[in-house]
Amino acid sequence: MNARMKYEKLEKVGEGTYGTVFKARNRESHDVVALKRVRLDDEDEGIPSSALREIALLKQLRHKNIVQLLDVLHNEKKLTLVFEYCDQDLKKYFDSLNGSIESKIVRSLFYQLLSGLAYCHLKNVLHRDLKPQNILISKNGEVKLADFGLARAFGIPVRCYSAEVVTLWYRPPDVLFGSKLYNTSIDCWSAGCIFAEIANAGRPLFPGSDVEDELKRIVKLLGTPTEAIWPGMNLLPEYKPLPEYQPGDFGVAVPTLNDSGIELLQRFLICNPAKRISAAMALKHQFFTENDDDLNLASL
Amino acid sequence: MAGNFWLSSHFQQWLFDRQDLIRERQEDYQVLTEEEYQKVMIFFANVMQAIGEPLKMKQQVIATATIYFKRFYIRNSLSSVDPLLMAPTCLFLASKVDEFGVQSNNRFIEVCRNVVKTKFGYAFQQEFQYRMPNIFECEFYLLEMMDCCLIVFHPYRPLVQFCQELGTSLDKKDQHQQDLILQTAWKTINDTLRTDICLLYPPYLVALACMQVACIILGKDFKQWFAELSVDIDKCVEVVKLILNLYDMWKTFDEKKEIPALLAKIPKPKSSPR
Repeated sequence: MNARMKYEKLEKVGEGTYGTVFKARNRESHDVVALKRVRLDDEDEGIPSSALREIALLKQLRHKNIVQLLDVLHNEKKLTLVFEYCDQDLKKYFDSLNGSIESKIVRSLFYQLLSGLAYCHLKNVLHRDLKPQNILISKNGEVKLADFGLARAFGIPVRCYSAEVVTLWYRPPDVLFGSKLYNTSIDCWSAGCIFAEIANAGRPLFPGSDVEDELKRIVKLLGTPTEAIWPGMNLLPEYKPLPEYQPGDFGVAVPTLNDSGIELLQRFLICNPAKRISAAMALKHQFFTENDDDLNLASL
Repeated sequence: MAGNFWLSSHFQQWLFDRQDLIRERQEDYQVLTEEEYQKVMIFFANVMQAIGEPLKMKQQVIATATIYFKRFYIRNSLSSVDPLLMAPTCLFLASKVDEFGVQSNNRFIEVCRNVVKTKFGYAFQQEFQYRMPNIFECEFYLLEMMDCCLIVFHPYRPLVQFCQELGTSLDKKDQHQQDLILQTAWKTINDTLRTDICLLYPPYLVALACMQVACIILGKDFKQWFAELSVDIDKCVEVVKLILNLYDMWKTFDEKKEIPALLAKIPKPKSSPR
């Protein structure tokens, strides 16, 4: 079926990794959806591999904290992915905050983010590109992970993953040092950075300008890692010795987080990827259990 | 690509029983016998293998493409889309999905043309005439017919795991047998792609059956080890039988002699490529 016959386009919402995104309405059910038109103008590739990967993976994922792929429509050289619609992404939400956020909302947003991530990891899918722009928030305060164009299923430990995939600010030190065999820990680092950014009402934690600056910002807060706490570090392909820093003060970096929040953040922001907490473990952390509010919806 | 098999579309949508296959292929079975159909499938699996190798595609990618091909022709008759166009299209799609990376299109078409001409000239009256726009168009169709289920699981990975487990149960002096079995069973998995096995049984079971076939070929006896696995031995035996049937058929299958006549039996697609 033709996309135009089935959906009425309402407005352009943005540009995705591989095409324009429109808000649209199903002519029959009146449901509002997001249409992601896949550009096929690149005569060399046919359907772009990023779109194919997103389709392949989302086809395997169904969870309330992951954006749902409702339909794939094709006609005459055009491919349209139909997603459930969300009003805004985390980035836009930050812009609306004016610098402060309730701790209850911090807990709920991060809890939902981790729920979606734990499910991906259970299904053996890495997101690889978590950032506020890829985290959607629905009208009623539900968090949805989106944009799986760089995601991949993992489990075959035979090949290097393609380099240069994560936006610099959310990129873990092991990847910054050129490690190419990464796993779920890559997403957990990004989640930690986003946790701090949520708590700080949208101020990014490590907004580095290049790889060197990014690493420097990281070790200024975490302290410079040693071979003893991160065995194998100096064997990584792009390892360079870093200036010596003592650990900084997390209370200054994220002043609004309580003790358990800071403890949880520190379990994510660990240079040695093997030591980073998993999303599933983090969901059971005291930070989430010490209050008995409903964490599954954020009352924005 | 990997992932969790039991939660996958492969398990949920793309495993059949024999009756399903017979029903789905009814149209083709009007012009071809079951055995002839299998021979046509073997032939095109060989075409895909022959195109994939000079392009240095990994065996995994070729295996995925072969399964796409089979899945497409479960849902469609062989006369719906020219299999000679579908075969390279499956390779093209699989190489993108498995992150093999996209090749130069010119090279891709050139290899298709060369392989068809030099290796399979006996089967086709004409040269390979398709171009990238035909492949792109066919890719759409393939994606739609497969209901966008692109992730395919193969027996290679479970095989490696099983062989490691077998290895730990062996005496030190027998350790090299583990490698022998791995190599032989790996080739046997490649052979299963010439059958319906991948449409009928989950990959772990195929891996075990291929290990058993390897034991038969190598004259080894690990009955004890197999017996201690908690798997459905009857199902495993079914797969072994299907593999042995294939080997029986192979002994008398003369592709060069039989294939031209079989391809001639398949009605030509109604719409020719634009």
